[in-house]
Amino acid sequence: MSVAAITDKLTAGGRLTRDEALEFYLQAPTSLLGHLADRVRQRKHPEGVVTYIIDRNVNYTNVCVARCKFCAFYRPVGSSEGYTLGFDEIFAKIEETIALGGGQLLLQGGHNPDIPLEWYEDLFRQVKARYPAFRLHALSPPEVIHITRLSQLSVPEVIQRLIAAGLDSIPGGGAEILVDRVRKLLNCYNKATADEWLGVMREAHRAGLRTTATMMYGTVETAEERLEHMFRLRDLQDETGGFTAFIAWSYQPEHTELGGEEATGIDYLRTLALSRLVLDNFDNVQSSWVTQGGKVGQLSLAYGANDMGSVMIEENVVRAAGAEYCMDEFEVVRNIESAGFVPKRRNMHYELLGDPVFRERDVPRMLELAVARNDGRAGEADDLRAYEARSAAGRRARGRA
Amino acid sequence: MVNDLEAKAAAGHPLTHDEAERVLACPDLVSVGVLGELARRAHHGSTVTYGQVLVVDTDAVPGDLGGAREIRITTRPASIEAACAQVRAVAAVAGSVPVTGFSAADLLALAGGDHLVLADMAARLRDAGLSGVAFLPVDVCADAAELVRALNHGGLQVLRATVDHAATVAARLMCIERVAALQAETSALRAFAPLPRFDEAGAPSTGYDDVRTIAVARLVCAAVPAIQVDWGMYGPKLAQVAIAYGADDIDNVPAIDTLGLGHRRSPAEDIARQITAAYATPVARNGRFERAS
Repeated sequence: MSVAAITDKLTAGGRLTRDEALEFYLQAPTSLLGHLADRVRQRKHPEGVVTYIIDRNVNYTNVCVARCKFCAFYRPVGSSEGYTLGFDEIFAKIEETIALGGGQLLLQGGHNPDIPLEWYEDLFRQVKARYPAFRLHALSPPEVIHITRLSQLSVPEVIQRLIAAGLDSIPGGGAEILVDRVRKLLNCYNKATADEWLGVMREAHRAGLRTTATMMYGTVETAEERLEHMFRLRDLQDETGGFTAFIAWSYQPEHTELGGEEATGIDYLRTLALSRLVLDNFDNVQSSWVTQGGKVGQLSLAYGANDMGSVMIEENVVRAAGAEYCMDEFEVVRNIESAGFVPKRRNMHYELLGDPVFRERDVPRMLELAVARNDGRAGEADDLRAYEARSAAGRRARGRA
Repeated sequence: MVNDLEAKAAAGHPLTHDEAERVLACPDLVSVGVLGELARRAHHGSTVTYGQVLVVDTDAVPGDLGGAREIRITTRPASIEAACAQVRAVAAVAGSVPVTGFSAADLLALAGGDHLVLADMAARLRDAGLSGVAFLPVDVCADAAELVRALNHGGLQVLRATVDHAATVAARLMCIERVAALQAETSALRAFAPLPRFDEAGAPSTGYDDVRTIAVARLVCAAVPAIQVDWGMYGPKLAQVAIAYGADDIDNVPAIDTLGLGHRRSPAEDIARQITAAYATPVARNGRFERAS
């Protein structure tokens, strides 16, 4: 089908097939992709609101056995640079988040063999006991798979236990590209196959959780494989309706084993626009200013995005790979308004919470994102000693060799 | 809507003030990009040029020129003697690479505001080895045409008009229109870099502001050969996206490989990749805007 015919089909509200999407992605001018994606955004969000969330991106550990080639954040078991945060450190981060008007942690970390399921359960319970209204958007599908392997429980059992402890929703991290050829090349097949990633999300949706979906592109995948990723998400969304949003970001190559180049800004805008067209059953598409910078992040609002993502407060993973952008709430709101939209705070379920916090009360400006530990200290917190370590290094560290 | 301006943009004809204001106010950013890109193609086809620049921002003479096709002195000289001495020192190591430098506003200040003195200074700088003046900040220079004429009279080209500060859309349009008028009067400029070189504290310009400014500069300044975006100042992502909004020259690409770009490519390879990925043809040029063969 020609670009013109596909344009007509999209304009009439038709649904793209895989072949049509590929043809359009490869052949359509960027401006046409942008126009059509913007039209879909307008149809889904006619009120002209662009949302954002105030939350904190906390990485509770950088110790990881997965060893993905695209990751600059992880440290192997036994590394002198490995860390695991303690409960008190996480509580302090929650209190800082609340002070900035936030209501949620995005809690993700490495696949640390020395953190058992019980640690997560205890953490979640204590968070909920101390901060009952605070939300836990935690543990991406590969982390859930990792916990099932450590605990020898099934995915539904682990999810149910985490929900019982206080889990509110699951972030879509670790999806990378949901094609096993790509996952094998990136050495992330073993942490979760494409089917396993989707399987965790299916079970989470069945259990009543809402989740997000992500895509990290720009490594070794083909255009067809980027699209296959989107279509697999669309199929699951048709089945469960559990995804709240889609977020695409480009691979950040600095300090990674894989190395190479970062995808360009125009590639980002094209990919974002295409995702808006393919994922016609997703209500929300986020901008990734943390990987693209504030300027291209703002431009994404003209190419299909209706959400500026998170104020973030803290970020460790993307920074490790060379991207160090920062936008506080003031800056996010200024960018939304300068693009002609109305900014509204939201929660993870995309329920509107209100106007910007800084217009209601004084909030300190935040000119750089925090890190896991400000003093750069490594090592695991003392409260990990109450839990059984699985690795030899972990047992030694806890005095149980 | 601005679709009615597409034919004018595609013909390379300059927009009027009212039309430029409409484009700057247009909420449909993608349509603004269509206009900018049509105008760029009308002037240059698919070609987008880039310049690898070695910036000299201290008194030290550079040892390694890397891939420089221009050496640009960005210091603020204390005297004409100091400026000439610095140009001579840099020119001695530059070989065939053009040496540019200084702000026309700073040179006029050194000349005590006297255009005859400025013309004499220009001649001395040219004799010392300067190929052209690097910056003409149109928001700062009250009588830019007279300034350009004085520098030209002394034998120095003014290579690019620039903007130091422009906090509002209206201020940006005013600068763009000043450049268009200056070029109509002098035909002296090789390029215009319309994005401000200095952000307002606490409120940097936004991506929307920047790409709209690029588009309107291309659409209004039809007689200025190149509309530039600064790679070093604005970063590769915005610089590349700006091509889709009308920029036709990427300035200040680093001349020397840095660790920040990784070990697997040089800045020249990366800029060529970025321009190609913007559906354009990269062509290197030097500090005199002469294209590489």
